[in-house]
Amino acid sequence: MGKTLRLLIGIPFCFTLLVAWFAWSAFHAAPPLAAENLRGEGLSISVAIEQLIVADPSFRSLLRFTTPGIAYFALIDRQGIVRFHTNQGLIGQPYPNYDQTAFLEGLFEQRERLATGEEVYFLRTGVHTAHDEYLLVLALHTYRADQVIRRAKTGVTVVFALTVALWGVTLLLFALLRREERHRKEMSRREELARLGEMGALMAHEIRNPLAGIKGFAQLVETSSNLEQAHRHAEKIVIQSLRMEALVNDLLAFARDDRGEPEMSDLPALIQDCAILLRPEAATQNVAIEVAVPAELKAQVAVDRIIQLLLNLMKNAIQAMPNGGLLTVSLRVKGGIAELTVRDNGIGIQPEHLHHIFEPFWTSKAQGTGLGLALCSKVAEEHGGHLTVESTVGIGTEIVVKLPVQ
Amino acid sequence: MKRYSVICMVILLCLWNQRASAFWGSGSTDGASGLDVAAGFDVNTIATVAGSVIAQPERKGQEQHTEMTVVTQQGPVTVVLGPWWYWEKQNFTVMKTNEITVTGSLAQGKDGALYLFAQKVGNRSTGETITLRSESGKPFWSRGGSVTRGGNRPFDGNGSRSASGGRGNGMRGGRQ
Repeated sequence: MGKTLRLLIGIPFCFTLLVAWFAWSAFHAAPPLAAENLRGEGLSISVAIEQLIVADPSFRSLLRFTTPGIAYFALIDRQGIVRFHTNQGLIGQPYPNYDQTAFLEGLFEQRERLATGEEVYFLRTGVHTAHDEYLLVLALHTYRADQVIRRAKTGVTVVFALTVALWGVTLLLFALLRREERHRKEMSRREELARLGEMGALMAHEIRNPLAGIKGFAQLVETSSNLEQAHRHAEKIVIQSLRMEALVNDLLAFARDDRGEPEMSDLPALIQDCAILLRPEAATQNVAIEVAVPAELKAQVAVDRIIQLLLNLMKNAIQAMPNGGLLTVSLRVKGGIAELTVRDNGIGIQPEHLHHIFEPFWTSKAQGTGLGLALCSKVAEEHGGHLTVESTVGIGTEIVVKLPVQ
Repeated sequence: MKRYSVICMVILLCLWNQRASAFWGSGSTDGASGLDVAAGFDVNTIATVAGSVIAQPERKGQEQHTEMTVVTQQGPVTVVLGPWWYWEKQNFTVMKTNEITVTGSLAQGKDGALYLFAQKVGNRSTGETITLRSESGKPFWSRGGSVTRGGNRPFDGNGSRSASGGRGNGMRGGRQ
């Protein structure tokens, strides 16, 4: 969730920064560009007007001079009298607020608003004929030149809208992910509760049977007058107590959160030790144990947990061969993975049971706790590995433990 | 989460709306053209256009001003004829396809269209003329509705005398 959240926020954030920079630069480049265009147009017109008045000092040719960009223009002489104006009614009138220093200023330009409300580009510059000098006052419409600004604004608006949409989608995704996460946690909690209830019921069931036996034999001991008979009943009580103890031990091993401290260990040596430990028990059932392991294979494992895994698998295999057989334990390394194979030629597992054998408290045996293979699977997972099982009824079972080794 | 999303959306909408609200608060400025349709007139931009009416005078916008459209050599020009209440009183007939000549202050709106704030209107089809502003651009409706009518006289381009009132009628000049 954390990584997804970082990606979910990080990508739109980077995108926003990028487009903001792009929009900002485009937006700020537009007004100078528009001003440049207007200046260029204004200077071209002023040159054209100068040429016209040089060719025709009566200004009559100016009456026909027009371009779509001109709002108005006027020529003012040094006395401040309007010598020409596009509104001919103003010709001959004094130019308001005339200041002779305007002739010395050279080019003057600014944007200003006319009384109609229109914003125009206002340019003032000197124009010369052979004998006179005039002040040209020129106002240009800005609509065409401002197209670049409008485009930039449209671009910024589109980019802004897209960014808002992107953030909207991001927030929506975020909300959906949050809801999904909450839903998943709730489901997980419910499953945990259900499993807890199921385990409690199974535990009660598993404890009640030996407890009933202990109680029955204890009552017999209480009423028995024969010491030898009482001794036999007491032995049964001990057996049932051992069964309960085994159940509690398995349960504790399974429930243990402590994975044990991993240490560099020799896996073949651990397998050999377990085989030696189980050979007497196997012999009582006419089961031979064969071990085929390399001379040395070091791996970083929690030794206690691996021994639990080996003992459980091998005990299960021995118990699967009530009429004797051969238990083969082999180990090999393939592509950085240690493959431990425990094979028996016992009764095999029913196909319909194969999906359940790693579930806690599931057992096909009359006296089993149902925790052995669940514990094996848990230990393998703790070591970053997993278990696979193949079995054929009447032929035998092969369980492969795959563990990563360095 | 939902509350924050709603707050963000409201803030964005407020920012988005800023430009539009600037128009609502600016009095007589027309939203589409950006021009002062109620009192705008600039003597510097006075021009005369002639053409055919394609849209009769009608009431427009928040300002309730009168507009008609004329096709001229420069293209379509929207002629602003002053407040609707004033125009209604004039009984000046302009029909579609009438050939008219209009003198007034020409401006280009921010929508790119040409607007002419009418000073004098001559209907060449009927021979009627009407003067809506003085030569300096003062609107007649601002001094009580006095108007110069030319009756059936052909439009001769001579306007009525100047009157006081109005705005934006001075020639622009000097230091800005």
